[in-house]
Amino acid sequence: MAKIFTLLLIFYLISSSAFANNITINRSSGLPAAGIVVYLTAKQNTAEIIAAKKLFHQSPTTISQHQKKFAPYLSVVATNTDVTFNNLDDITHHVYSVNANSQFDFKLRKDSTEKSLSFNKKQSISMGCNIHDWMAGHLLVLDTPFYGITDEKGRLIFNALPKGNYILSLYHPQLKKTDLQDKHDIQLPLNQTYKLTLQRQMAETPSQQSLDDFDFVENY
Amino acid sequence: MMPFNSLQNRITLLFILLLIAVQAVSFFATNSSNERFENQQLKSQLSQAETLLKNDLNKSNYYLTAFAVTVAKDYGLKQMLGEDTRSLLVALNNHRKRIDADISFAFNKQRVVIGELLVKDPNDKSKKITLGEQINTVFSHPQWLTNEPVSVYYQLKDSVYQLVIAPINSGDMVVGHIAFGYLINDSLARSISDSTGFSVGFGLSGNSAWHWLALHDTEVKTTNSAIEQTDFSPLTSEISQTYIFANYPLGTVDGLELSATTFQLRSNLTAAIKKDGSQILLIISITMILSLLGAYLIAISLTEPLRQLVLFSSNIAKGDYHSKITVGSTEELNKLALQFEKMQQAIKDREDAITKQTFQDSLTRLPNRNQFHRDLIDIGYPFLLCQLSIRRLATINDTLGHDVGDQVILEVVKRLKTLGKPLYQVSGNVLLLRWDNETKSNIKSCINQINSVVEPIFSYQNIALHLQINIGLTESAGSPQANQLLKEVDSAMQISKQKNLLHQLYNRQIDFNTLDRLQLINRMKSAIENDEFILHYQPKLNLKTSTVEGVEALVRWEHPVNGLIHPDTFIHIAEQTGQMNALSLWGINKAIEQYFIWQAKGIKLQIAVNISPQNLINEDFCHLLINKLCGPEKLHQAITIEITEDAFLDHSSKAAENIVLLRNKGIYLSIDDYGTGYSTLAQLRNLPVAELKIDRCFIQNLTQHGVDQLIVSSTIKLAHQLNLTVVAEGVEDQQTQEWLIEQGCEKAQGYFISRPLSANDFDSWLSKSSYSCNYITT
Repeated sequence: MAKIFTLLLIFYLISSSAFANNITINRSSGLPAAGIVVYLTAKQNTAEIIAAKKLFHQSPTTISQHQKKFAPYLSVVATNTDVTFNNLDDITHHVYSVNANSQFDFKLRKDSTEKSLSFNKKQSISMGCNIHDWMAGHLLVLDTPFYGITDEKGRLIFNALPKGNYILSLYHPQLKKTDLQDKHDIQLPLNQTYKLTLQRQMAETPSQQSLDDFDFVENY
Repeated sequence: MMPFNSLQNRITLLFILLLIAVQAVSFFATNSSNERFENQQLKSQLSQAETLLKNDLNKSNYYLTAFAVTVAKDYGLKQMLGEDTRSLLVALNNHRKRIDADISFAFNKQRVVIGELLVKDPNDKSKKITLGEQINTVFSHPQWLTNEPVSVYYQLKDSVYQLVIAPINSGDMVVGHIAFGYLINDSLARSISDSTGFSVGFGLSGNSAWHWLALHDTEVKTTNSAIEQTDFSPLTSEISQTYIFANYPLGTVDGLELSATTFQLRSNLTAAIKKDGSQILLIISITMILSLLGAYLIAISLTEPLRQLVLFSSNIAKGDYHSKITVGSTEELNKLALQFEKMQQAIKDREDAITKQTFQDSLTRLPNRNQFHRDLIDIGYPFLLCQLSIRRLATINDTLGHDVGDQVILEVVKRLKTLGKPLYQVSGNVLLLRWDNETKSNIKSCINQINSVVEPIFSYQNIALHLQINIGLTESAGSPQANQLLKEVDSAMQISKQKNLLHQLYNRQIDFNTLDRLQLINRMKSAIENDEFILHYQPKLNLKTSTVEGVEALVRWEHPVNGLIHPDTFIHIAEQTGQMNALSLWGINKAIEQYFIWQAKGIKLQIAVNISPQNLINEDFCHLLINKLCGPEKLHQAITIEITEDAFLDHSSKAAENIVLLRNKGIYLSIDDYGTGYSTLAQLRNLPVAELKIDRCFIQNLTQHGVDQLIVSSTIKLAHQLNLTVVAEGVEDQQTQEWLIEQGCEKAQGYFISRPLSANDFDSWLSKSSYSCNYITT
């Protein structure tokens, strides 16, 4: 059984390498949309896809609190995968989420730097710091391992995905509802770059900067 | 009350008018500036009220916002969003209580109301909370649920709230909203009203309808029923007559305009102004009264010197020349006072001079009538009073000049002074001599003493003057009445003058005559018309034939009240009042009448009628006389005319002309009372008279006085040489009559023959007498 799986994997790797699927997301203004989460949900579970899900199962994600910001601002994790919170600052952060499905909160003192959580349901979690009001972070919990984030030019390449029919979805906290809810049917492998333009203009991503003018805040 | 035209009152009035004018101007100026000030103040108060009102609303808005935002960031509350509804409501209410909000909401991400709490009755102290009815429904105003705090006015049923909605964030995601609000109600209006002093209301308007939402009217004490009691609505324009107000739009509530209104009754403002006005009036009244008092005092101080001067001059008027005057310290008034004092002295000096003249005669320096009056006051003893008049002084003045007349007076005074009796000069020619403690029994000696000093010849500038006087006397028994005495003594002197007597003692008969003179003057004219005069007849006896050839007609006045009045009394009056012509004509007519009566009886009697010297100088009278007597009846044979010798003396030329005229017409003229005047036979020589009647004063005492016999006999002789018939008047005894016959006197008249008789008595006398008369032979 293991041999068969290994053989299939090798085969998949050989065959898929020939198929690099290029996706480009543009804003409604035409400029490249960077930092957008693109995730694919397979419409069917072929042996190849199951093998690919195992193969693509990704390692735990770390969300740092660095310089009184959530870093990165947007994180993606698969269900039942650890998410580690790592306080890189020398002050205490009180990370919380009041999402209906997954409320949590914990304090990260300057020495106890790590806290791991995992979520078993697909959801988007918005997080804040009860001490530093301006801090904001987002965690997207997905039930598919096929996801990525567009680069500065709005580009994303999915390599070696088994052929088949998928649903392409987008996520970003500032995306408008229509863009969030749009589902795009695609067939892999793509023989040319899949270009997608957002229907609505995105809101500005918060800078996570204190609005207060006090100098001392930098140190707390 | 002083009269209006007094200076003091005028000054006071002037001050009053000035004060009233000034005060009125200041009152109206103050009042109008007060009104302007009030209006400005009101405007500023209105704008202040607006600021305060907006401040209050802004403050509560800020307060609500701050609180809502704070609460939204409260992690405890954020956590509650996911908890059960009851826990959420308790947490929400905990927050609501902290700011005593009237309404609070919680919304979830899907804009569903997950919590709604209302204060059931904001006016109730217990503040019972009820659950809203919108729980688990989507909020009716989803547009308010944004990622920013929102302030709105929110209407729920009849209430409007000032509501602030704040987002609840999880990180940068809005996961719900929370809202707190205050009810816009009367107590809000009142709190604003308290700080502004204006009535405050909140109103909703739309579709031209308007209603109060909340109201606090300062005029209405109970706020509960305030809305019903105030009919004020900013939408009706005529309300501005009653109210002063300002509207501030606050915003819209479900399409209706929410506005705040501050207002005040206009009458409140005017009441304040009126109150100010009446205070000003009071102040003005007080200053007015004080000013009037001041004006009165000023007027008094101004007029006081005048009053002093008036008092001073009234003292002068009363004859007090010794009062001093002090009229204050001003230079002008002191000058005036000095002039007054000078005037006082001048008046005093002049009065002294006048007084001297008043009591002293300027020529003789004798005390005068006034002094006589004064002296008499102290006399309590009897005395004889003589009034002396120098005879013929007028003639002396006319012929020799007034200097001589004055010298005569001075001489007489000098001589009388030697008697050592009180002597007064009543007028130029009238002197008074008082013989103290003498009675009328001593008259003779007094008169003799006077006569002896006056009688001697007075030689002045080679003129020898024979000084003669008439004296009137009266007697004072005790308490003398000066005026009465002077009247008596004057009457007596007039008589002595008229009768050519040296002296005449006053008796009551004289007084009577004098008193009645006036009445007689008035009565005479009508007496002539009423035939009150009658003629009495005194026979003229031809001494050679013892025949009554004629009569002298003598006029008598039968006064209806006073009885028979003697001609001595009334002839003089008739002469002085110009009635002599009428009287003489009456006499002539009456004589003619009587002549015919006697003629009818067969008796032939010539009637002699007396006429006055005045008649002779009157042309008309003379022509009338000629017409009467020289007519066809040839009455000039029957009526003869008698004239006193004065006629020739006083009016010589004119009278003489007329006498010649009458004589030429054949009228028979006699000279009456010859010897009493100053005519001489030489004067008569040239006059064509036919008869001379020797005055009775020479005849009466003829037998005793050799001198009179000498005068009469020589007069008769001279008359005869001038071809004049001589008549002797006043024959009173046989002896005289015989002497006259002896002397060749043609005719005689007198009591010895008969006194004057009425026509009837004469007739009977004639028939009884021994004298014959001429009868008409037919």
